[in-house]
Amino acid sequence: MPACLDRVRKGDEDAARLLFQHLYPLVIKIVRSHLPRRMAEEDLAQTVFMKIFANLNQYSGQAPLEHWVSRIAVNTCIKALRAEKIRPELRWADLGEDEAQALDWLASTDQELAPDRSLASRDLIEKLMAGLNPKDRLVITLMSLEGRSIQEVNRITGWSQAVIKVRAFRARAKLRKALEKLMKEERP
Amino acid sequence: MNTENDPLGRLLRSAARAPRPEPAEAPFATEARCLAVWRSAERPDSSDYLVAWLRRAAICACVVAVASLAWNYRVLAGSRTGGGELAVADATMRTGVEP
Repeated sequence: MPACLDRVRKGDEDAARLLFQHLYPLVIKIVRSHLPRRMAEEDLAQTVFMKIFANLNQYSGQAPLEHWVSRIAVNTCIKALRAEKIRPELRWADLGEDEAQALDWLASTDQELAPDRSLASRDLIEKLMAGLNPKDRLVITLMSLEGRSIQEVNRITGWSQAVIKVRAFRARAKLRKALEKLMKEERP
Repeated sequence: MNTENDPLGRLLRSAARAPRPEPAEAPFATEARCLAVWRSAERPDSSDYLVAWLRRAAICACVVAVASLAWNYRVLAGSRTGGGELAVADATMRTGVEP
């Protein structure tokens, strides 16, 4: 890969194509996890690649390329999410049938949701997270949904471990409050 | 409150189990757009040279303007000093001639 990077810096188009294809799965995975509601994932991925190519000369090679690219992708997503000024409050009427059933289950029992409810759970949690600010949303996605450790979040975001812990605690508290409010709400 | 078994904890655990679509191969259109932008950034077009040339011309014009201002200031300052000496001589002559 270092040889490929050198060739890209010298203007070799084949090397640039190779680099794009190598990094695309990583970039698109991050973009999908942190995509703003009204943005196409391909557009955001393109913005990320523009930044990668534009700043390639600043990459020193001390950290793995994937770490450097992850940080660029995450920061680009945060910026795009920040541009979404409106963070709507979730209501029952906004939920699909499966999401409403999952919510009913959570409200009525103490048991885990069935495995076949996982997609509905994912949709529901994403709708709830749309009400959070981008950094809170990011920390919940990385830690609670992707199961990443504090060290990994530190590597991806550059935040200190103390900041990550505090942000994760506060983000979960906000999410819990939003979920409880939704569960108490009158159904239509 | 037991945060592990509260509704949010159960919802997050369930959501984390949801299968994620594997990233597909890069779409050709995205690849082509990204490489096109990279290519245009790699090879600056003629307008970049024009902008650079205009910038240099503007800097030169500023230097000439400042130099000419400084030169004129010196000339003006010099003439003002000379004018003062003549005024003193004129006043001396006038006092000598007038009764």
